[in-house]
Amino acid sequence: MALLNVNNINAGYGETEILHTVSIEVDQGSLVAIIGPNGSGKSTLLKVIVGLLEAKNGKILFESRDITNSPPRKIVESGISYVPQADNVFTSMTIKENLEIPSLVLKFNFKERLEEILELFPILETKMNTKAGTLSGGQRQTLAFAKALISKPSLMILDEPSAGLSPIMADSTFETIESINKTGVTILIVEQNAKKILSIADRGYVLATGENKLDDTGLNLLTNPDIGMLYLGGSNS
Amino acid sequence: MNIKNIDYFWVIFLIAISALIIFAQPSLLINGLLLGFIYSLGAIGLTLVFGILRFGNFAQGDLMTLGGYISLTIVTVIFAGIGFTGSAIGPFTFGLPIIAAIPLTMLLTSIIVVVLDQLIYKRLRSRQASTMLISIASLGVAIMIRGLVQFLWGNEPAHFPRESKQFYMLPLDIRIPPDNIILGLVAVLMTLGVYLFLKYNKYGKFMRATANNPDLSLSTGINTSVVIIWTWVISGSLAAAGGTILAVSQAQILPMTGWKILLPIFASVILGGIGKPIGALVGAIIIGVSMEASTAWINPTYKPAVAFTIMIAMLLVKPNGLFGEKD
Repeated sequence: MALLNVNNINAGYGETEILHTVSIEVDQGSLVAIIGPNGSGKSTLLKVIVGLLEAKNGKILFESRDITNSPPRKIVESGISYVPQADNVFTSMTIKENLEIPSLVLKFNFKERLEEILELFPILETKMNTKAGTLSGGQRQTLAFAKALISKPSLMILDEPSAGLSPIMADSTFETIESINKTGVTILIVEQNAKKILSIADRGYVLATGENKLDDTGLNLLTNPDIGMLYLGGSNS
Repeated sequence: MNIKNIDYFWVIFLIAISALIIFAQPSLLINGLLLGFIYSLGAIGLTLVFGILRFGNFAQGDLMTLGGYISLTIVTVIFAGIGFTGSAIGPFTFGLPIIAAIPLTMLLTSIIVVVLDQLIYKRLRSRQASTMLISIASLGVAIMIRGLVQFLWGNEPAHFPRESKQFYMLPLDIRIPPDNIILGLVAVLMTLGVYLFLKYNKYGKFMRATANNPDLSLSTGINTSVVIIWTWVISGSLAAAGGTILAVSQAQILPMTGWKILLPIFASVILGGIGKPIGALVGAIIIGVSMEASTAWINPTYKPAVAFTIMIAMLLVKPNGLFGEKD
């Protein structure tokens, strides 16, 4: 049984259905990427998994437990951390407060975990009392990752972490993601930069117009000429 | 002109006004400060509700009226009924019962606003009503509360039991009613309490997080329903305390008492920056002092116009307010 099982999900906003019976599987310890053109429903799928958007149909199992349409709070408690694409830190709060919030939600020892997380992201240590809103794009991304990891999640869900970053920052973000995955954290990631993410992903799903189009290992998708033509065209640069 | 200069402008403005009053009528400054602290109790609640629920609560003033009347009833009916009357303490015009009534009123008013939220605002939120619609609903709640007050307590001015006391006479012909010192102190302590709550308490931090980014708060696992209840409890209890202090300092309460200060409260919130509790405090002090100071030169009837003028000037110069962040 996979760590996360998304079975035949239908979802959308109001009357408009965006996802049409979408299914994915994420194995324990793997790095799974969802790629596809703009408007294919990638981010919508993540929102349904983390409980921000209602699934009209279908089932989501996490560690074999049904979490379909659970409140986001319950999903966080079950061990899933979500990093949205934009606005993923509390800009009016300090870095320390940003990192503390998950410990207040999940009631774990903040000081202990803070030390561990600062070893992973030492850049944050000197800025503990600065407001997150003053950070650069890359630093914000680092803080968002740290905030998601501090609760020791078993699954980390990332929505286009490279969006809006410079190519150099994006590269280092992918390195960070790979190293987080190597520490044993399962990762489900939506990414525009398909080439980059497929080269490090164990498995990739191609979504288009809210439907499953293909799924294969990262490497196979990367070398599949159809994929390049159909879905990766705009993001190869 | 850059933003820093505008901030200094307001600080200098306040100092200049204060200096002018000190030369003209120093006691106006003291009265203005008390008025500012009372406004701040209303304004902090208003700004917190706006920060979390994104609507301007027009019922805030009438909630203060309701708080004043609840205190009055606790003192004159319940406490008097059980023989807890107590004469005025020291230099003050009132006794222990009024002080003891304040926490009870805060509790009762909090319960009332939480019930109002569950009955009215929560339903509107779950239907994804626009903030404009919710604001208008709060105007309805304001009129409803006032109607209830008029029905229960009548239209005549009501009074807390009080004894006449000498004013403090300070040099330069400064006359301070001793009440103002203790009432001001209570208001300051409550404001400080809210500040500490928001800074250090778990739910205070959740409130700030939710005000800053509601979606991220949800996906981080914050129980926003509990945050909303806390917001109403703080807003309601500050309004109740503010209403009681206002009624005691004015020596009377009327069904219109709170409605009349709704405009200065909104002005304070806008001046300080919507959603910023510290801004609401500073804004309220500026508005309170300016309004009182104006009476040295112009007819007191025009006091609200002073608040209005400052509010409009702020909206034109710096719409995000003194403590507001740029979008």
